[in-house]
Amino acid sequence: MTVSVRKTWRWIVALFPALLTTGCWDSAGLDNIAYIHEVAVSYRKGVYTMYATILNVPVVTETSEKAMSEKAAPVYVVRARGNSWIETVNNMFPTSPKRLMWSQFTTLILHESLLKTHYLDVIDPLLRYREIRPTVWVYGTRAPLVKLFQTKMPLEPNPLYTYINNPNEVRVFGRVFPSVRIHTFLRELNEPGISPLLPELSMDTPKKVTWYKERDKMSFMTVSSVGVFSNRRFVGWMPRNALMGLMWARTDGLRVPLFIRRPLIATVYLHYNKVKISSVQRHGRTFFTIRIRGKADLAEQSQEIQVLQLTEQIQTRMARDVMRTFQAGVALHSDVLGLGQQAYRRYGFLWPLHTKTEALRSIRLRPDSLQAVSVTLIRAHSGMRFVMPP
Amino acid sequence: MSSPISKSLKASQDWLQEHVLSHCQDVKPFSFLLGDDSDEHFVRVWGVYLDGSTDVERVTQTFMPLLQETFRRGPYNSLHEFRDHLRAPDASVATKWSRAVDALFSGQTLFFLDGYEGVLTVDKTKKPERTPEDPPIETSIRGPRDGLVENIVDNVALIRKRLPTPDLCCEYFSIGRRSHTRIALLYMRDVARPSLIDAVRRRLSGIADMDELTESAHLEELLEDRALTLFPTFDSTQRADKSAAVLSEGRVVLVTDNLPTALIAPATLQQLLQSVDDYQDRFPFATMTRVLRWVGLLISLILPSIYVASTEYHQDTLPIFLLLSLVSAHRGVPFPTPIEAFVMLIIFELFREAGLRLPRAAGQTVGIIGTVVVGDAAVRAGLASTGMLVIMGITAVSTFTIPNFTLSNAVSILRFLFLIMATVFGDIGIVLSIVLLVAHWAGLRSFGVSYLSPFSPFEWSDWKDTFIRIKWTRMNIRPRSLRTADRVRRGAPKK
Repeated sequence: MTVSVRKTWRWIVALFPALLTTGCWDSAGLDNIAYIHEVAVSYRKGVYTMYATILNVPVVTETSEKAMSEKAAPVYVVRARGNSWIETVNNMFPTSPKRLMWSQFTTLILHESLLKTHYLDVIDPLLRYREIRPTVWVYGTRAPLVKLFQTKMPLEPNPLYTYINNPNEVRVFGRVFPSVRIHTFLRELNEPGISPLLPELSMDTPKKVTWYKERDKMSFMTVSSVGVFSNRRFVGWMPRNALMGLMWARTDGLRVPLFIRRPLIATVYLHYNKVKISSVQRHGRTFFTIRIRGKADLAEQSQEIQVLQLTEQIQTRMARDVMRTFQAGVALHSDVLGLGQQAYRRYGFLWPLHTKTEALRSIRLRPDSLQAVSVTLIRAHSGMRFVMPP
Repeated sequence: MSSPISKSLKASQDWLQEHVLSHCQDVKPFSFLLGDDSDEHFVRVWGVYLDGSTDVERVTQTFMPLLQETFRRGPYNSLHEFRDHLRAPDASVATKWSRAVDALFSGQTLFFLDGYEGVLTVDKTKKPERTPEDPPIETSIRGPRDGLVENIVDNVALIRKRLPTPDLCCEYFSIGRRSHTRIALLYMRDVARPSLIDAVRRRLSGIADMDELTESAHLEELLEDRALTLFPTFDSTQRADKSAAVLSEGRVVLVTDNLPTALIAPATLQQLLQSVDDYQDRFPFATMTRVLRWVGLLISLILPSIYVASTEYHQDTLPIFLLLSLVSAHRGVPFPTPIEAFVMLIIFELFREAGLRLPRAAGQTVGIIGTVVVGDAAVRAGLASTGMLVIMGITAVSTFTIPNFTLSNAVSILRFLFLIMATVFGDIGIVLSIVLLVAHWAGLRSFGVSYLSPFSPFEWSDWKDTFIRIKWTRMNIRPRSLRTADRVRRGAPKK
């Protein structure tokens, strides 16, 4: 064999393994595919119902660009039913005139009826399918799924721009519970000592706000509450009045406004709270204290009051919120503030003495487990004063 | 040819008539008498010169009076003695016909003196040539305007002007049985690695029995380490200032007669992506442009294949809005994306080739037709998608950022191979192609210096002049990968 022949063979041998690669043979033209974008699932009496939105690609050519109006349906909604989840999805496939692809699947909405039963049977096959990435946003809901998918959202006919697909942009102005991606959700679900929180999408319209389009009132979606889990089991929705504590102690608190109504009217913005949980073990039980430190901007204030006094009021209010959230969590037998996790990690050295189950039992929360909440705020900005009549 | 030149003028005339004058009508004979007619002591002189290559005016006005005056001081026993009394440094004596004919065709004037053995040759050449001007392909904003020309002597002088030191060595080699092409090997004696100089010298002397050598690309092929590669292992330049700069860096420069292009060895990939302007601007800007050129190299190599792989196989790698606009742009195009990409690439190469072959003014017209008329019409007719046109446009522009022409041609070929791999294997094909390409680069050597240096083998101190360029005052050490004899450029040598 001459050198060049041997070299040629070497190249062939080097390239051969590439022929064994799979997955790259199913080449498909970009425009011969329909892209599934959102999926919502409910479950009733042994029947799974799935709503899926499929992106409708607008024909944008130079001539038809202007002709395209808002009337063009941005998405198609498909409803499919089946006795198992896989069956439901497979019932949908043959009806599509184009190949369906999951590569742009971004939002998964789980109905309460499913959450209470087989929600893991839906998530698991989805994540096992190679086209789906674990970066899907996941939400729970109590609203009827039909209603969710028939809503005309304000501002945009294109659902891609709405906040369920781009949640972190909407959160910039605060007071919206952060959305979670499915990998975060599952990580917390499998972690002992913490309850994952699933944001709830609802159609409830707040009383103080109305969106109009011409004369019609529009309905819109909000993240109104969060679903609580304990030991991988869905235990219920968080009461609305207990949500603020989560903002202070569980999330990063990205510019959350706090409205104080009594005895004076003031608005304060809270930024990036630092939460420190500490624990002590006494008589086989674990007791916790929470310390929150953060910066506050005073946005408005209706009457002259000592800064110290106002700060104290806010601090007391925040501490009360956190305590209320904790109690609401205990009522649902769950650890919504993630207290147990801190002790679980901290007292790892005690594990050889106790077993893991004993360690977990020792950190099980009771109403008196959270002993104190202390809040220290630094005023970063003094804001406007006397803008409102006294 | 190797016969000696006889005493008899008649014999010389006959020889030349038979061997040269009968078929080379641009060789002009002349004759005159040395000494006065009245004087009984006079010699008949017969000479020949190459019309157009000899400065006849200088020969008649300055050399002939000198000849006359020297003759009067005679008599002389031999032509050598005559030459010794002649006050002309460019005059010499040839005794063999072969040397005489070589001298004649290099533009020298031959004087046959009756009764003397041999011939007097005088170098008063004036060949057609142009004056040094700004090289059109390697333009520089702040740099000097005197580029290399077609004359080897002028070129060496242009470089020597920048390095007036005896350490700049110049060795001449003559290659080609017929063309007698002179090649000047330039190097800094105390800087360049001795083994490098030896290697170049050995390879130059080892060029066996060539007929002719007229192109620097031929010389490149004769000297390079590896016979089969797309990539240039020599850098080339038409600038005298760049030649001087690489010489002082420790590289060697090969100047070929009749060519305005000098070869530089050893060359590395990162060196081929540098331009003269990099050293004439502030260092942050130079760094930015160099990074841009690397990005340009990468884009021109893989952008079409990335596009094909993403749209055909990996739709999940496209952000949703990009996906939607690509889908709507491609809707109605009758060809699958890979075919579309191939056709567009071939069309791009066609336009490039057409633009290069045509005169400059017409080349611009081709460019306009290519971009505006054909591109726009193709989209309107639904034959190509706008997305593909954008990709091809970006690819084309990126190709033009590569300063070395040979390298950009290599990239043009590789782009097709990458596209085939992407069409068949998707992203895996692209990754595989990159792996094979880097492996090929890693295997290339230019006179013992790795093509990928200083990235591989890793040489941290050389990184200061790669895709980053630090301040010139901080570049105190010559590139380590060149293993120069004198490592220090500025300041005291480190111990």
